[in-house]
Amino acid sequence: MMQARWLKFFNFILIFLTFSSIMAKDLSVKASVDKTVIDQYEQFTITVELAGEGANKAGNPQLPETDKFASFLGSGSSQNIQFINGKMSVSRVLSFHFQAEKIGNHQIGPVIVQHNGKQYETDPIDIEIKQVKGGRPSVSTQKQNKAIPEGSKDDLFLEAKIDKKRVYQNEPVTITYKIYTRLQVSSFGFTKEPETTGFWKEEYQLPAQPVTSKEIINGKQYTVATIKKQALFPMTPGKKTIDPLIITCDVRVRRRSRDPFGDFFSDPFFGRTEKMRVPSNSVIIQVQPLPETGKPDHFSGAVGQYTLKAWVDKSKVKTNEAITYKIKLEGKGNIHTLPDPEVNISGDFETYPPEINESIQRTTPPISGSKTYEYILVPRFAGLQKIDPIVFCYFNTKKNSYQTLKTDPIQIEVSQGDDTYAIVSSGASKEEVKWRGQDIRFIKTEAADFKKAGDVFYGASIFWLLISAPIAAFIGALGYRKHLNRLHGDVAYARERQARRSARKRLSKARSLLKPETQKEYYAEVSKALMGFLGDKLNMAEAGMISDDVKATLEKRGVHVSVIQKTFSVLESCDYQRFAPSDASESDMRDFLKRAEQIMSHLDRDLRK
Amino acid sequence: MRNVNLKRVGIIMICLFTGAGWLQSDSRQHLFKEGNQFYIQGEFENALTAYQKIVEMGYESGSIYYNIGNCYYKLGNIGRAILNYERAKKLIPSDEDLKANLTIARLSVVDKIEPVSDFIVIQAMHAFFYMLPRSLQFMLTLSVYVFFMAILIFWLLTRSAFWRYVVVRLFWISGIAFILLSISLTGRLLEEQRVVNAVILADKVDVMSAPTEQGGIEVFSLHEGTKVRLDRSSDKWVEIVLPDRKVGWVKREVLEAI
Repeated sequence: MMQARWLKFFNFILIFLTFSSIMAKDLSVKASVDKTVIDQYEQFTITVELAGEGANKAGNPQLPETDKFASFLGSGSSQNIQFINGKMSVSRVLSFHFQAEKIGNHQIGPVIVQHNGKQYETDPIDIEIKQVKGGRPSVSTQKQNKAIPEGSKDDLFLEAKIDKKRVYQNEPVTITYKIYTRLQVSSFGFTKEPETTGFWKEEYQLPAQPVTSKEIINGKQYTVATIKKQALFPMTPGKKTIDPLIITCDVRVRRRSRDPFGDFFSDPFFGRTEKMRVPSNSVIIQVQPLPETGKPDHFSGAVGQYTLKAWVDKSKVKTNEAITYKIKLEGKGNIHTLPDPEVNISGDFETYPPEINESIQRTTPPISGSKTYEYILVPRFAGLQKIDPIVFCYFNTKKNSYQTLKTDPIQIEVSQGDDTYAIVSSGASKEEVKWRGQDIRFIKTEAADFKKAGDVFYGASIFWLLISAPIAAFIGALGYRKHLNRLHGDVAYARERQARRSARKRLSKARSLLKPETQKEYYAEVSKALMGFLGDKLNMAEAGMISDDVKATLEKRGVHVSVIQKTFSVLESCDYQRFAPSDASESDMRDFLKRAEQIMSHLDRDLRK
Repeated sequence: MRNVNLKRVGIIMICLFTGAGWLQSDSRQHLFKEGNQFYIQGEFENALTAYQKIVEMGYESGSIYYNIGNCYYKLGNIGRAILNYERAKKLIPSDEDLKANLTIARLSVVDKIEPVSDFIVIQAMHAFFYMLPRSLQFMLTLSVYVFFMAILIFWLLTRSAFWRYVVVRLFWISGIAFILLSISLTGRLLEEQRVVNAVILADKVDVMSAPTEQGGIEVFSLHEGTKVRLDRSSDKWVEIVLPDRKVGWVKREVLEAI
């Protein structure tokens, strides 16, 4: 267990290190030339190799100026993806073909590639363009060439022949150069090949030794040999002229002597070799643009006759197991420049850029061949996965119409594999590297505070209690505040509210004097309490109270007559006892106090009405 | 006087509630501990069964959903792991362990959806709403409310210049706090009521343009563990909305609401 964990950890480090090393070498660019010593008019190839993660994303290389010494012929590219120990390496090779033009030492400047805002430059390459030895005269010898006599048209001529005069854009024209001779041609060399800019050129392979045949033209027998055969794919519409091809032949010429025996020496050994410059005729090709009518939206420019196939090597796999998905485009046409079919593979697969293989048949016309795209797919999920059909549209030159090819959809049964390790994915729709082995944190072990699911806090009565109680308290406090304010501002209200309290105070003081010895003081207190009570209730100054006024006010306030009478009788007996005391027993005094209290409560009751 | 009495009643009620809860909680605590034991021994399926019994009894907590999520993760069921982590997130939104595990679980989700970002104020509001667990936010709002009212009452009653000076300041502070908390709580409740999220549980789902098998076309596909918002629904289908505002219909059984 422990060991396994360490191993896992170690694995991570390894994976991490390899990734970081790839990251570090995101892109490397190399440029090379297939040969550094080149004959004049010979083709050479500059190869630019992009390697590393960024190879697919990097922009196209920017080639240095080569116009001064070479002419550009065309380009091609190939891709290569390899998995070594789970590490993916991508490389993209771009080849640029040139024809050497000018003799001398030249330098091919650095090739520049832009990637991620960085600029990658290759080292410059020195090349040497040499004069041609032997059969092929070079430009510098052209002065001499002028001296070379043009062969008599009758005896030796070169014919350029095209199979079609009118073609569609990207439909091939086969141009055949045939030499017609009545002379003995021992060897020949190409002096000047016509410019074929605006065409993609595919050279047919001819036998090393030209096959000769006999042909009779205008009653003369000629030896005929095909010396050059090309397929030209016009890239742009319009009228195109192919200039003459010029060859130089070594011809054995018999000495034209007047010597009647001259014929005797017609032995080739006695012949003389002469150089002859033979130009062909020029040809005109009418290139018409592809018809607009019926042109599908997804037409990508392919012309010819093609078939399309797509298949997988196995239809039942486990997750994270690679399958090979192949697409094969086969047919007649310009295989090399065939546009790649659009492949849409769902994000359920890891995909890598395809490996592209071409095979082109160049021995017999028309140019045909196949292009194979090999994808490696790694399914990430179990289930029935689909690969969408591929649609490829081309212009059929036989039927003169656009045709659409569609492959059958492919279904792959994916079962769950047990491998859940680091998966590398690419593409915009997916995530970066995942560390699946990273573990989640441990569970919560503290006893949880479970509550009834779906309980809402505002459903509990306590909630409403806590909401309403402060409001109630607030209303209470507001009332109390009002009351306090009135006490402060309204004397009558204040006295009224305090009347009973102060009266009760005085009565309790009187109660403490309830003894025969303090009889006088006792009655004084009772009188004061009663008077004070009346004063408070009626808001009158105690000192200035005149009994008649009091009586009138009490009557006005609706106090019962008997209560008024009782009040005044009590007050009178108080005064009497204060100033002319008679011996009163304690019980008399207590009764008197009760009477006073009774009157007060009656007064209170009546005054409130 | 009356106020105090009410408070006393409240306290007694709280005690009663929790007391009643304690009486019943024995079996749940037992199940929880049992689940923990199984988990420690690596018997995730048994642990899951124990935890789920508690949920089946109708109880929930952040911890229980978190633990269930852990079990599902260990069993390789990413969709359900995320579903339960999301459920826990509703109850314990700022738990560090939960955040970490949810991040790890989401690594295994295939769909990477760039959310269309909201207006910055709305983003800030969101962060504000979901800072605290919902119940805690409730409590906090309520206590600030009670405090605010108490300050108000005290302000009515006191005549002392010093106390009135203090009280006026407390009044403003607690008043503003109360308003902010109420707004955020209301916003959260409204949002929670309006927005129902769900997690995709099926390995791969083809999302249709209409709630029928024949009538619509497949507009995009989603994978296990992706969180979506639910919108309209018919009896067998629900309409889902992605964070990048893509809309489509899926069958009910491929997902489960959080």
